[in-house]
Amino acid sequence: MELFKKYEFDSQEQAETKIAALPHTEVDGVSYLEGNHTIVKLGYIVTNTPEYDENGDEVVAPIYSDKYSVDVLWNGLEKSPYGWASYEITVEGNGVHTFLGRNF
Amino acid sequence: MSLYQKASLVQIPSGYKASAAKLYSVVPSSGDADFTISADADATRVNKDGVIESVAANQARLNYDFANPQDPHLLLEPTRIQLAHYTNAISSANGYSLINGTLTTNSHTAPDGTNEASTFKVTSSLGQFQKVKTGSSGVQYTVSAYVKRKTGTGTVYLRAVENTNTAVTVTDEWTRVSLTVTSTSTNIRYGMALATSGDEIYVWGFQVEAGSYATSLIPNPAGIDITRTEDFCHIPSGLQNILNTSEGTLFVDLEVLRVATTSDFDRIVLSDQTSSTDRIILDNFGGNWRSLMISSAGIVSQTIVSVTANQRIKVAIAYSSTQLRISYNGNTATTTSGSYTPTTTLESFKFSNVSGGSKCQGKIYQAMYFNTALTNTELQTLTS
Repeated sequence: MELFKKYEFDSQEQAETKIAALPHTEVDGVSYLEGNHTIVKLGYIVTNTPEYDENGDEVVAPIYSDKYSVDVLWNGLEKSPYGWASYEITVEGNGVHTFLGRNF
Repeated sequence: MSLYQKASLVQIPSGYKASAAKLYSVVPSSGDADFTISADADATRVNKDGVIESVAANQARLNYDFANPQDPHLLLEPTRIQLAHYTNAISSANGYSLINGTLTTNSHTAPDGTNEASTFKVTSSLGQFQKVKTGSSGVQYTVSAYVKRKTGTGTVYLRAVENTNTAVTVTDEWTRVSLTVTSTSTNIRYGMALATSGDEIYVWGFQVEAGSYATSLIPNPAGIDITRTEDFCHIPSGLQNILNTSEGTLFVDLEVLRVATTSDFDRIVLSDQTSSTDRIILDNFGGNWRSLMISSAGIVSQTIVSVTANQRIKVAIAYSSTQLRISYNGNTATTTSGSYTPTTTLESFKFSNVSGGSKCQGKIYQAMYFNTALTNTELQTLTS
């Protein structure tokens, strides 16, 4: 079973703290996230339509959200893990990102 | 008896059942050693006709070489995010800006068999089209696209990440061109340019992804980013009657897509279901192919040869209580002495580490297991 959720955190640090608090397993000195979840850090997403000149340089600079966005494809969960639900958001359609073969 | 007849497990990627998430092994035919596959619906492969097609969820991606489709391999790729948009409809209407040229959509048969390739024609020298994605500075991006020459002989350029034209080789057959660049700003460009006025090319299937190499096409008909999750192939348990815990031989014929580091590496492992106590390992680690034999007696390690990305290698590893012997690509087997005293039972075969992390990224042509430690001559024969 898969669960596709979108989250907005107050900062990158807060998102990283939440991710780090998820269960991990350490093998051979490497820490692996348990559960085969897929976490995509979208970051501070662009909220306007930037414009560029013929060289690809900015004419109208991007404006970034003050929230840090993360999309997660949870594996084997029916709801967000403890501590994540309050950061869930809903969007029309898929928003700015989706997972291949799935819709939000 | 041939070496193949001595094998207790033979995996030659050929038969699969997506609805059961299975990749069938040739030996045994009982189904006791079939691999479990995890793969995204709509991920792509090149089929035997050289056509790019989407697969079903959990379908083993039996992939053929795009330029020369012959024997298939199992394609295992990491998570990647497609940052290029409207990859099947490259046009100014979809945000591709034009200078001294025109783009015409749906004008030629694309590599996926649809009529969705666009024609790019320049009306003055160094005409170009491009789209810009807001990304991150200091990140390695790989930009790729399928390109085919329609008319003219002038130089064709790929515009990738920076405001730079890089010449690429384009013929009158579809070719995937690719360039990996570390960004120096947040403006991530992708497009093409032509040196000669009047020249025309067909173009389709742009891909922009953070990473050191291009992965299979992630189709994106819209204006949002799309993540393809990582592939996985494994037998999590139940091989206790096929694997021999105390001695055996693992053979793998594969090609990896990158030279891994010591902190981000690829691994193939025989182990207990979840315990990391006893393991037989082949990995792409810190620039080298390496094998490990791990038990409570300690770690017996042998570096095999340096890793070359996109170069096929055949490796056979024979393990026993006193030796780790390895042959690759027909070379004489080398021996490392050491003690191996397993206390758990090997019953799992994973294209990853025991936990499912450090998944193997590459092309698997064949894998075999023998429940005895083959002789040095047999190892050499196997890898020739």
